[in-house]
Amino acid sequence: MPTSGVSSFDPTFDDILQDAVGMVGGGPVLADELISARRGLDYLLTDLQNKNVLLHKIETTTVPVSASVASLSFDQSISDVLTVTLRTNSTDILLERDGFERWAEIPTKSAPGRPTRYWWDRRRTGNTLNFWPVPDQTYTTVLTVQKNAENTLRAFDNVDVPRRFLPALLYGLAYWIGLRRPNVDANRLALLRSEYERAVRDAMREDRERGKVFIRIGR
Amino acid sequence: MPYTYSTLTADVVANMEEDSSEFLAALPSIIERAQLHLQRRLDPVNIIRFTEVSVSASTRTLALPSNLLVLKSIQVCATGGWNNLLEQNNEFLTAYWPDYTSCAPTKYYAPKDNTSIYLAPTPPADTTALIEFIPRVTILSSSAPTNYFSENAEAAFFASAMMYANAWTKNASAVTVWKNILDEELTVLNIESTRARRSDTSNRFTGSPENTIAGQP
Repeated sequence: MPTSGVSSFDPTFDDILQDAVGMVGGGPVLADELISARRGLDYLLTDLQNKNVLLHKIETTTVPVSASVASLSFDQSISDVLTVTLRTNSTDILLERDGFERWAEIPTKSAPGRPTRYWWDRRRTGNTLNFWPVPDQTYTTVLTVQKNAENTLRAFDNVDVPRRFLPALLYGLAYWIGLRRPNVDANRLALLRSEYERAVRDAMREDRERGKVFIRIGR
Repeated sequence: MPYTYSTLTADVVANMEEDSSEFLAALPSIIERAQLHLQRRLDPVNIIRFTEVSVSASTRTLALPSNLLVLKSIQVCATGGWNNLLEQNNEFLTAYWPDYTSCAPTKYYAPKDNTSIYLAPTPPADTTALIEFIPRVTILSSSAPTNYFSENAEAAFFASAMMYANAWTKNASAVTVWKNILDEELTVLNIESTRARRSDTSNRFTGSPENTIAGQP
């Protein structure tokens, strides 16, 4: 028999949920569990993002910045900025990132000029990109950003992860459900947790850059 | 030997030694009660029926067959074959598919009332559903002289009829006797039904799927 020729395995949230519940055991999924498991999946996605920079959530965006505009605001869809460059005359110049302490040491924060440094101020509901010096003309900034995983709003939606993370989500969701359901055997919970951690390790190992890596010591 | 309505009622009259006009007038009701007693207590695979019904686009309810007693499964015809729908409750369906005016291939169903079910997602196109169900078996009567129970559970049918006939004559001790006989028949018939189901004859958790009841070879 021929193989299917189809490589688009992409289960919806409730597909993953049904499989996860099968691992935990117990009764069928009711509405309240469906709703809480949706949040559980968002916690899991956050947990994955806390462990590493996920390649599929890295994006490049171009943002113009006008003269005298010292900072730009970004919404919660962006978790962090990885690089910021200033594009002038078709040339990208990498800006240097400061931490809040080094930023605080700058005595002339409002001095105009071509920006050379920036501080990414991470807030609860958004982020601010601060330039130094303050742009003296209109520039184009090119940002490489790490975006947050999209929320699981509807049970019939696909989940915002590539295929390599699906086993981790499955075991993680099963563990989450197992913690919430009564009378789940502790050994089964321990098994689900260890399987989740193994699947996350495997996914992170697969989710790596294949290009050359340059390691720079110091700043 | 299989019964017909006339042979069963004749046998009941003979064994009751009761042929008053009042008793003969009550016999249809006695037979009906006797059959309903069997219908609710037996679980035979042989009376399961399959029927195709139409599913309408953008309509989230589906009408069930009028003689449906127990809904066993639903498959919906879709591209590539038949899809089994999964049963849930309506609360789940609302959580899963809150905007039921939007459409997508159906995945779940939930009971609505005795005559219809809800589908979710709401089907996007006209199609066909195959419904597997246990029907109400037509009551044995002079106009429907045979049915599954009269032909395949005749001893139980007779015992059930005798139990209700003796209840009609208010013979309590005879009711107990016939109930014991009936219970024994029902047990035997239900074991037979169990053996006819693969899901009941194999133990999923131990041993071979060739095992019989409860995993015992």
